[in-house]
Amino acid sequence: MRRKLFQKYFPDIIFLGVPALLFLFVILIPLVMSIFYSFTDWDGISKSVHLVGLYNYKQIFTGQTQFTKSIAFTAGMAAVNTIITMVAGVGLAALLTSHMPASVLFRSIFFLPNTLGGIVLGYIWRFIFLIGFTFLGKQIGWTFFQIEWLASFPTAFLALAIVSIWQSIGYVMVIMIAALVGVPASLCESARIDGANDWNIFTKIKLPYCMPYLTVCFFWVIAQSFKMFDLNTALTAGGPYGSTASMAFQIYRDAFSSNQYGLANAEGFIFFVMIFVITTFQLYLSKQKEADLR
Amino acid sequence: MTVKMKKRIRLLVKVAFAAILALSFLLPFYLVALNSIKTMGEVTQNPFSLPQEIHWENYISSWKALNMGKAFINTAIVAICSTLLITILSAMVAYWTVRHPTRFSRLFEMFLLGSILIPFPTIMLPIVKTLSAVRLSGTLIGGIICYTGMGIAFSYFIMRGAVLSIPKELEEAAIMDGSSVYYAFFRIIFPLMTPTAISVFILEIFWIWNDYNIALVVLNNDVTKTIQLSINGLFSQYISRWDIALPALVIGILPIFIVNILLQKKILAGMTAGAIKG
Repeated sequence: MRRKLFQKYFPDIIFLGVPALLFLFVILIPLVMSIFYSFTDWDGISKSVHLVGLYNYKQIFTGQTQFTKSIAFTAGMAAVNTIITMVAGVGLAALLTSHMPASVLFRSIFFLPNTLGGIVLGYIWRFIFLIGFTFLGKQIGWTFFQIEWLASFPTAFLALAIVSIWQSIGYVMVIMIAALVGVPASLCESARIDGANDWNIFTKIKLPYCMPYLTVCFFWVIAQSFKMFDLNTALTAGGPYGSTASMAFQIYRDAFSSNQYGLANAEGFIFFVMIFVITTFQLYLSKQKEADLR
Repeated sequence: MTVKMKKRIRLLVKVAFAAILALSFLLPFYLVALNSIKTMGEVTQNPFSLPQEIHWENYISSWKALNMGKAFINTAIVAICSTLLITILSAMVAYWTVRHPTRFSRLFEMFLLGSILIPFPTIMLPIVKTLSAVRLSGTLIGGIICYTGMGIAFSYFIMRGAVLSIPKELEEAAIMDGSSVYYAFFRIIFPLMTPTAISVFILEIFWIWNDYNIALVVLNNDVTKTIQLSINGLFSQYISRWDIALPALVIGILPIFIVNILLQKKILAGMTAGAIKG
């Protein structure tokens, strides 16, 4: 009997066994552990672990921790990034697909930052902001270059946004080029015969046609900004005074630098819920939009 | 003004705009490369000036400070092993769930879909604990396990599309002739999935090569340091020694630049495939 069962499920084990084990070990068990530890006061090292109920969550929601600040920072960053990256990325895609000479070369250049990691990009721009801008400030005398970009919150926020957008534009552009090229020429032709101009064709025919791609890009940019961690580390290290610490950065710092492991796990869970809600909402919206168009 | 001239002016404006933007995209890279071969004094005095003398020795001291040889080998081992595992495993899962749905495959598919919603920072703290439990924390194998486990879900959704596009009859014929499902998958289905597998491979290897977050949690020690960790370590150690730090950046950028130029078409195809099917 046992043997028969084993034989019946043997192919399941071969095809799914290793991935399922990995999945359990790397995602499912850590998720359950994270939720458990979020109800404790563990520091991550010592042997004393006490259940403290919702204490960590209370601390966070009453604003006793840095985390509310990082939620606001991350949400602001996501909003700015998403709007600018989407508009600029779609704009670039439209430009490069409009009978542009050397469009392949331009595409490669705009895509370049997207293939590099946040650590490298962050340090490149740290050099530009600290050395390049200071030099230009002295030479040209514009206040734009004279201010210390990474030393106060509003400009450090802007600096992070600039680098993040610089990194993400390439992705949106590449996906949208693929989408725009796929719009059937006959659709645009018949609209032109009916007297539509370029702008109308773009906004009324091409963009709606590319809706699924737009949704993918939108979702990608939001997720990307919410998960910001390496850019944060490299460019501002959360400073000045923790004002530009993203959620991921703050979770890491609370767990490993200030040994508030339980609290950090509670923050991690809140992060999870936020991503969950946003993603589900977005999938729902995109499904509806697509249904409307049909 | 004639229509023809109007068109010409429009084209000129378009090209000029794109060119200026492209230059501004390239300027940061140019400045980093230029200043990486200057002395510290020259860098701070005028970052736009050409070097009076080329200081290649910056690269040697940077390479040594980073222990870059080791970091390269570590990154390559982790990235290549994880990527190969992700590619083959996600193809297997995709094949099994699409063509032979069982109770388990349906359940697993649900979990995979759900895991897309879990951000890494939520699970990064306990991952260290589960890895330590089997004594793999801080080892290259531990890193490979993490990347593979985290990467399968995304690749699965791309691979699913590839399986769906292969006609069912091909496999049915083979099984009718008496071949096993394993033979059918490895000899018939998987070879047909090669184009998708290459896309997945490229996407995942870029992700792992550039990743800092997972590496920081799992691989952050002297023996298993990756390139991203080394660069970050160097910068926090030599906080304003740009003559050592900038060559490190160039060393980090260069391999990706080269791969980018050689494989541009494949990379872009992979990205687009990932966006549509993922």
